[in-house]
Parts: sequence; C-alpha cells; structure tokens
Amino acid sequence: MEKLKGTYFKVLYVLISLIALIMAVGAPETTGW
Amino acid sequence: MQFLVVPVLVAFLVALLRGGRVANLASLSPRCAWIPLAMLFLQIIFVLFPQGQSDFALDLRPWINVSTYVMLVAFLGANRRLAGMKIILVGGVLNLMVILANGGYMPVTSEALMRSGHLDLIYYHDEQAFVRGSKDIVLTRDQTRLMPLSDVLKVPELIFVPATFSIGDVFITTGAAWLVYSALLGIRGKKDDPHRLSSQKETAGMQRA
Repeated sequence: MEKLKGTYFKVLYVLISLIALIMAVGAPETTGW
Repeated sequence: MQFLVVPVLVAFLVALLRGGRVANLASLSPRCAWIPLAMLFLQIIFVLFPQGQSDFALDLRPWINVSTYVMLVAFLGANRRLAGMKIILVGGVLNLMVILANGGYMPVTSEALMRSGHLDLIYYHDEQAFVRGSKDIVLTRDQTRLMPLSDVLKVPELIFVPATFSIGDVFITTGAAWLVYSALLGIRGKKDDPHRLSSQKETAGMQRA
C-alpha cells in the first residue's frame, strides 16, 4: 500500500513538473489561460 | 490549459492504448524536478501577469524571463539522457536565442495577433506593446531579430485553437510527447545515466540491508 502511494505521488510529481516545463520553456503568443 | 500540452496528452492516451503503464512515469526520476515548477511560478508572477505591479517590477520582466530560461535550459541539459529531453532542449535553446536577441521577450507582430484574434490582449508599458498572459512583445517585422524563430507559426484552423507559436515550441511539444510516450511504454533513452543507476542500486542495497 505504501509503495503504491509512493508511486502515485512520484507519477503526479513527474506529470506536474513536465506540464510546468512545457509551459515555462514554451513561448506561444497565447498561453490559453 | 496551454495548447502545447495537447500533443503530450495525445501521446499519453496513445501509449495507454498500446499497453503502456502510467506507473512507469515514476521511474523517470528527473534531476531537480522542482526547477520547472519554480521557474513557471516566477514567470506567472513577474512575466505573464504583471499588471498592477510597480514600474520596478515591470522593468525586471526581461531579466526574470531570461533568467528562468537559463535555469530551464540547465535543467534540460542535466536531464538530457531521458528520452525526448534533447529535443526539448533544442526548442528551449531556440526560444532563448530569440528572446535574448529581442530584449528579453518573444517577439510577435500585430498582424499575427490580428490573425489569431488576440489584439485585445495587448497592454502598454513605457510606450511599448506587450501581450497579456504571454512572454511576447509586439514588434514590427523590421524591428524583430531572428524573425524565423519568433512566433510566426499558426495553429491550423482545423484544430480550432487560434494562436501563433515558434519553431522552438514545436521541438518542445514534440520532445515532451516522446518523453511521455516512451516512458509509459518503457522505452529507454540511448543510455541510462550511470550515476543515477549506481545511486539507485546503492539505495536498493541500503533498503535490503
């Protein structure tokens, strides 16, 4: 259970970090906010 | 949600349909994964939505924008062994080049803004036009340096997202899509980081002990 929880948070962290990376390093004329 | 994320979501779904596992993302373990989060936070506060801030804070915009890009390029370089990261790195460097050449902002022409229907997002500071919610400065073609690398590409009308973007953005979204796709399907980059592998082995050994 603990291992599953750890994996879940790792996946979430990687996904959020990846989306932040795309938004921070990308430079379109509109971010679509 | 930024439209550059859409191809990544498509890659995610395609990988799932092909038998990929979401849990595989946990094994990516990028180095310093907090950097993109921190840099995006700084960009949101100081670059994307600077309205209502002091002149001093507004003058800091280009410096903060360039600084965050330098940090992001360093992050991409440190994680270049992950599949797709080198492609994102190329995109990041291309965007950084054109931003550096144009005073710390990504240039866009008023014609491009008119095409995408975003003239209403323009605001002024020091008699210069900027685009709200973006890193863009409005310049004419003659004023723009490295024009081909700026926001000159338009999303095809078929996709119903009126926006312009740069060649660097194409590399970024392609690399990110490949990163997610290959991670879910367990496709490795060229070589795994020997340092990271050895530290993983050490951690596993310590856990066993």
